Amino acid sequence: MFEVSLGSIPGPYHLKNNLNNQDAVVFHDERDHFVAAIADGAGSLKHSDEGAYAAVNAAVYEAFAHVASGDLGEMTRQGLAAATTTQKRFENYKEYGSTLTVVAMNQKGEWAVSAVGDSFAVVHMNDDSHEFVSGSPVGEYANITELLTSDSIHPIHASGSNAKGFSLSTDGLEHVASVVEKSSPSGRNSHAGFWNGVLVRAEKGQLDVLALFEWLNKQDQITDDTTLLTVVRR
Amino acid sequence: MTTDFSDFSDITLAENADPRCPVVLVLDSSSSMNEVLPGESESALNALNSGLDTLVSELNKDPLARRRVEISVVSYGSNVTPATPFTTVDKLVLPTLVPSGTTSMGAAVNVALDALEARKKEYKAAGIEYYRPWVLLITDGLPTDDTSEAVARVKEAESAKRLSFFAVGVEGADMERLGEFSDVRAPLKLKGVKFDELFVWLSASQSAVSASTPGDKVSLPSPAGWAEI
Repeated sequence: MFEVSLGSIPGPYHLKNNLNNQDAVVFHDERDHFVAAIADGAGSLKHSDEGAYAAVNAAVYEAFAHVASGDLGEMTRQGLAAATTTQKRFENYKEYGSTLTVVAMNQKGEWAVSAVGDSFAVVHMNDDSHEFVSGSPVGEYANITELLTSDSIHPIHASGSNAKGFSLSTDGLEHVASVVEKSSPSGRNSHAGFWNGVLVRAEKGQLDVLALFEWLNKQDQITDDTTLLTVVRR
Repeated sequence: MTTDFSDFSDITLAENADPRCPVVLVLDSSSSMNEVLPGESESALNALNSGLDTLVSELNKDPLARRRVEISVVSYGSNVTPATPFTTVDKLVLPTLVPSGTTSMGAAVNVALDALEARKKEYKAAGIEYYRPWVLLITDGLPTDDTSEAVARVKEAESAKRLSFFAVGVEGADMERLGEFSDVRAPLKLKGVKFDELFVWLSASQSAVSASTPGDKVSLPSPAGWAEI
């Protein structure tokens, strides 16, 4: 079985301006497989919260449509493709753009990730190391990332085994939970000091994500919509 | 050992890995800036120095901008000061400008652009992401040196979307010459010596930039409070 901890809060700018949280997350487990997807709607787009919601639902639904193949990479690839098609079906689809990261894991600890844009997955390995997977950066500037609705997208796919769980998040946590690593395709790696603390709580079934966010907020570290899903195998 | 799961003090946060918003202020400290304009109670230079304090204080109110906005200052009169090191706002101490001679604007803009290029190389070497840099040029006069190279560099950088250039003229500035720098945005003329309002606007603009999220086109606040528009 899989045990999930989840929380999502709107960022201060969205709260102040009465805007929706533009992060969306959904998960499902069935037949010894767990699939989760997270999407971050682009802040300036009118309907990106709807686009993010549509993307995560399409991704998880489509991933499970391929569960019989037993190929986790195929599940996440097909999930990502379905999310892209779904967003592009909207009229004025450019207004619905979001990032997307899809993760599939089975009860044996095998895993796969497909990602577009800067939302990210951290796969927690049996040896207590962490694998950071995120989309590639685009262009020169920090506030530009690929969206599912971008004219061309360059998904990142990764897979492996020996995982005891994983976390999914959007860029709202990136600044406290990742470090710069130029050799990585995304230019980032996981910050172990953050993820070890998350994992030890998740493994004890005592990860209170909203309390974690409150603690971060007291340190002025909540600056954007912030979402965290952590799942561990039992 | 037991862990108190309501206490997160065992969790360490990554050091400031935030993307940076580099800003260079290119400030005219020529002798004419030390004159008191009709209807004003202080010189433009005094008001500019006080406006810089306002900028630091306003940016410090925004926790995100405090970590992300990095400011460097180039001042120019007869000579151009070297660019001050790019510093995040939480550690920023801005220089007090003192009046001196003529208006070496072209050289000053070149120094600013060189400083930005060097800073971007440092970001890249450290793997730190950054937003499109800003240069804010302030003057009350006519450049007394050759600005052609600086103008060409600014235009080329703006057309390649590598720079956002803002020019502000104080009373007496040659707005036509200032307008030569950018095909993207016209220079704005400061109302009186409303530097406080200008720097509150700059702070609000940088707060918006530093908080922008993937794919954002940042909407800047109106400059109507300080500019004649």
